[in-house]
Amino acid sequence: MPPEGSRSLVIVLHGGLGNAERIVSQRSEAGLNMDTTADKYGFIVAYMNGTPVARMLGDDKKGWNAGECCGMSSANNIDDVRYISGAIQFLARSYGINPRQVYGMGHSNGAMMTLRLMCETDLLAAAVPISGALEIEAATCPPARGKNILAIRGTGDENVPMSGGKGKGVSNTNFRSQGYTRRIFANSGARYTLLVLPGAEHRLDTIESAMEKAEGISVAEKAARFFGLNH
Amino acid sequence: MKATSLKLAGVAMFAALSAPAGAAGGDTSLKYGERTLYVHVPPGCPRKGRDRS
Repeated sequence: MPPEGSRSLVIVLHGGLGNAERIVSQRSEAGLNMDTTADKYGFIVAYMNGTPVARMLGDDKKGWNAGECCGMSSANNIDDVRYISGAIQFLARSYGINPRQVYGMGHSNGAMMTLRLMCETDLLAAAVPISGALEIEAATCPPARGKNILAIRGTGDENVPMSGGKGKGVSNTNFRSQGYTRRIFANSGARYTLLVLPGAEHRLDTIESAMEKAEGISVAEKAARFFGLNH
Repeated sequence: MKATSLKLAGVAMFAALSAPAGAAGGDTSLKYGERTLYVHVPPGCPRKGRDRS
């Protein structure tokens, strides 16, 4: 484990209708569980919770205000940027984390939130958004200059289509496209890499299977390597 | 239960810890604001000594 002050942190953001508990217990979005990989390479992981995303579905169905998505989190303009910023500062102080070595990953609505953080803040050194696009109107994202983003998408994603538009999910969002996302970050001087997985759908288990098939590694391992934490 | 309060952008936020400070490795659930977050710490990485206000 690196000495205090030089430790790395990966924050993990669940998808819409998900929550951190489910990822930790691997009941859903298990591909976002970084525990084994963190033990292997010696970094800290924080699984964060959004806020209740739909009035009728229960408080355990959470989401993030990624801008135009999702649900009550967006409609009520919950300040998730501020919340995550504060949580990272708190964790950095508590665990001796280098604030320059904080990385983000998320799925679906969590990917959208990760991209919003990359666009609007200097919190994250790099990001791996999975199955999501940037859902804010932005000309550029100045904080992203020089930073690395690996966007992972499935060709069969019908919930958040790569080409944008309304998907088959329940959010009723008119999603922005992968092309828009790439253009904004590229125009901002970020290194934006798109990894398209043939046959993968929106669900994370299909992404995980396609990643194993394509590269022989898990999503967690792929993210750790992309962040440069595999040493 | 230990507690930490900190100020962020002029607004006090409250973090309550449900695991002992200094625990070596494993999983910890924390309250930051009104939300729970979960931290996984590899073995050999103690949390810093005491919570601060």
